This record gives sequence, structure tokens and C-alpha cells, in this order.
Amino acid sequence: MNFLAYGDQGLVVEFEPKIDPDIHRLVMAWYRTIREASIPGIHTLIPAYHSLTIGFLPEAVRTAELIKRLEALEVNIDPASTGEMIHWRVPVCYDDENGQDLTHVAKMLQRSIEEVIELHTRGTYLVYLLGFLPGFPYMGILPEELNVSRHKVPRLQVPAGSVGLAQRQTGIYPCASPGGWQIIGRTPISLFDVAVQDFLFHPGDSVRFYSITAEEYDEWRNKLNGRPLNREELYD
Amino acid sequence: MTRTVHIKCLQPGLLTTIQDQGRSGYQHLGIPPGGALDKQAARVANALVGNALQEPVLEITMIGPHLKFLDDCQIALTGARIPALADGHPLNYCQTLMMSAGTILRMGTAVNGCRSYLAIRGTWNIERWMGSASALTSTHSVHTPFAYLKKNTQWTTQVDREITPAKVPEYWRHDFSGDFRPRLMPGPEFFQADYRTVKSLLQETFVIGRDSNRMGYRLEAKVPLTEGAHDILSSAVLPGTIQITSSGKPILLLGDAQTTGGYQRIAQVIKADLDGLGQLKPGDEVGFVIVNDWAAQKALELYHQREHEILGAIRYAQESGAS
Repeated sequence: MNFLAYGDQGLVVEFEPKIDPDIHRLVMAWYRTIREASIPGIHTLIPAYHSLTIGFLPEAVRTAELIKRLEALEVNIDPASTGEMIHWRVPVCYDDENGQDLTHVAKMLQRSIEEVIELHTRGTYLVYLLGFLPGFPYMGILPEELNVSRHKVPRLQVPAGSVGLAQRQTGIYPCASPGGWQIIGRTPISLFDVAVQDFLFHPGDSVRFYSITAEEYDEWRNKLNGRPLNREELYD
Repeated sequence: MTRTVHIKCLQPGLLTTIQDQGRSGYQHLGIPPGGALDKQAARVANALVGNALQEPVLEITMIGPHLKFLDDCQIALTGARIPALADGHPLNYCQTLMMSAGTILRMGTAVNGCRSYLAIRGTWNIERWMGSASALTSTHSVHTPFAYLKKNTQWTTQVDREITPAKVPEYWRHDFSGDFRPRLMPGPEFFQADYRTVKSLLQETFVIGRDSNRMGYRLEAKVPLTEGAHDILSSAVLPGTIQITSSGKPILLLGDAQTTGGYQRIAQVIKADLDGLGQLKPGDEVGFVIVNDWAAQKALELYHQREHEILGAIRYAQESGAS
């Protein structure tokens, strides 16, 4: 574990540079410990794969002093301590209309569409970080059988709810946006929960996908149309 | 008793958005902090009209909008120097101004600097998202639908009483004349970067690229940096970070930048100089200078001292009243 200074307003707690659930668990343990320690001056904590970036007010604390305070913390890295992580189960309609790249992905992987769906719905994925767009979850690790590279030229418009693949990662577009991920399906749920003014998925959560038909997709859309989401329907 | 002030946009200009001091503390959800890029200029504009410092303002980018004030109101213009005519009369810069109902304000093209700030007295009736009214220009239509000025956009503020006019003392006004050298401190990958890249960053002069926006500026080197940098496993980035892409192109990130990235974070502009970055425009030349933590601390003290004196002078004028 290393502390890396980041100008006069940041500090990075960094671990081994690997996409690995055990390393991410360390990141999240530090995230929770620092948040609970409420150290004056810290205003931002951003977890990623192997790093936790701390944003602080240099008016309140300087880097050297902050490192001393962090070194004095007792970080609970007990694997049983997972904080308030949620296991989600997310409906996805995998077809050519909702997954613009589904047929192409199956061809690249030399598999049938059914096999691609089976592989994607089989795994439980860890939310490593949110980035790229507000609320965009980077989840993994996908099995090697689903490893496809991004589009060389990003699509100009990917619809909200699109579920994509990029190397060993899977993600969901929270809003319509240009993007390069290979789109294999779409979820009818909105990733932003208006009732609690927060995104559904947070770093450290886990996600499983299940396949729904185009009719079920429409039913979900009609049910959600203008109405608040019942989060518990999505709990695994 | 309060009254409502209606404002209508007749022409939006190049890019006019509603911005406040931003939404800090949501970067773990992928939400950039955003907010006015020249935060001090926005706060000073609000002080001149007697608003809370974090109230929204209009951020005007290079080419200003045409606005119609449908009710009597008080406004103030700070930041980049931009010519403006209120019903044909030139508008004074950095002071409280009275606009009578029906006045049409036409703004021209910024002369010095890039972003001007227009404060309007009152509480702005604007939808907030995650604690802020700021337009997020990367995904603007989704969560902050009214923060992007278009033709016929109309909004209101709620005013209690008139405030005594005040001015920013002349010697405290920035002129954005172009001798700004942002100060840097090392970023997380500073010590693993190729030394020739670091040397170029600190010695060369760069030109702010054409395709620059509120997310970031491309820094075009006169002598291209031939040595690229290897990518890193994605990690968080902050406004003011200088990244080097694998093809050797430096990028300077701003308030609307995405919250994580995979390029080496070579250096970070110190907090005292972040506001000034918002006043650089495409085509401007810029060079950097590296400082230590002590110098960064002193620079930040001066930044706050300047603001303290400006706000003090404004408050004195407002409280000594009946002018």
C-alpha cells in the first residue's frame, strides 16, 4: 500500500495495479474507514479498481498531516465486513433491437447468441467503480469467453439502459450518450432512483443479470412509466 | 413581501449555462463537481447583487447572450471582459447595475479572458440536482434540463428588497492580459513518467486546442512530445489534473471532466490557480511552473485574501447604505 501525493488537494491510497476482488475489498475497507473517521477537510472519496482518491480542502489540512492521520487509522479488512453492499438482480432484454451489437459479438466470439446470453447471465459481477458518465458502473470480471474489444470508432448515440461489454468488463449506460462498448441488450430500469435521489449501484455492490423477453421489457417500461421504482424488486 | 423577476433569453450566445459553486462529494458516483469554472468571479458577482455566494449565475462563454429583463432587477457582470449594451448604453463592469423592466441586454464577444459571470439579484427558481443547479455539459439534458440557455428559455428569481450598489475596487480587478502561468505540483504518476515528458511540460509553451470545452483543454505543444506515457489502470482524476496520453498529448482537465481516467496523471494545478484555467481560451498560449507545498499554501492564502478584501469593500458599500 502506498500514499501518492496528488497536488495540494488530493492524496491517493494505492494498492497493487490489478482488477481483483480482493484488492478492491481493501480499497472499500479504506473507503469506509476514512468516511467513518470524518477527518476534517476531506470532501471527496473516490474508489476505483486499486486506488482510493481523497479530495481535501488544503485550507483545512495539508498532505503531510493527512498522511499522519491516515497512518493512525485502524482499517478493518475483515472479508466479512462488507459495509452496506447490495446484491442486485437486473432484468435485461437481449435481442438485436436492444442489443445493437449482439449478433456481431456472437460472431466475434464464435458462439451462438444463446451462449452469449447464458455466459453473461451466469456470473455475479462486482461494481468496481462508477465513472465515464454519472452513474455508469464498471463491473467485472467477465469470463474470458466474453472478452471483446470496444468499437474502434465510438457510436454517436447509445440509448439509456444499454448493457455493454468491453474486454473483461460489463457496464450499463445510465443515460443516452456516445460510447464504444459492445451493446448486447438493454435493461428497462432507470439507474437513477428519483425517490432517494441516488444511483442504484455503488462501488462494492454486486450485480447479476437475467434475461427477459421483449414483451416483459415493455411490461417493465409500462409499470415504471412515471412511477417510482421498488428497489426491493431488484434485490437478489 | 417578495416579488418575482422574470428573465428571458432572446439569443443564447456561444454557450451560456447556469452555474453555481458545483456539487462536491459525488465523484464516487461518477458525477463531476462542475460549477462555475472561475468560482471566485461567480462569488464576487453574487456579492455585488447581495446574493448568497453559492447562488447560481450565468456563465457566459466568449460570445454573450441577449437577455430581456421583464421586471425591474439588479445585476452584476464579472469575469472575462465582455462588451455589453443595456438598451444601447454600455454596461459597467464589476458593479451593481439597475435594469428597469423591459430592458434588453445585448452582449458581444469577450475581449480578455473566456468566461464572464452575470449575477441577478434574488433567489433563483431553478431545479437543483445533487445539491447544485449547475449544468453538466457532458450529459446536460438528463439531470439539469433548464441549466442550458436556449432561445426563449425563461426563468425567475425571487427578490425581497433592493440592495445598495457597490463596486469591486479597480486594483482588484483581473485583466486576463495573458501573463498567467498556472502553478503545478506533482500528480500521482509524476515520478514514474518519462523525464523528457516532464521536462517538456515544465519548459515548453502550449497552445490551448480548438476542441477544448468545460471538460478539458488539449495542450498543443509547439515541439511535439515524442515520448508518450504508458496507460494506467483507471483511477480517479480531479479538475486541474494534467494527463499525458499514450501518444504524448497533454490534456488539462476542468470541472466537467469525467471522474476517472486511464492516462498518467503527471501534474496537478494548485487550488489557487484553478479559477484562472477557466479564463484560458482556444488559441491562448500557456506555460507552467512547478512549486512546492509551501508555495501552494502561500498562493492559496493570497487567493483568499484578495477575495476577503473585495467582499469586505462590497459589504462596506452595501452597509453604509443610502448612497
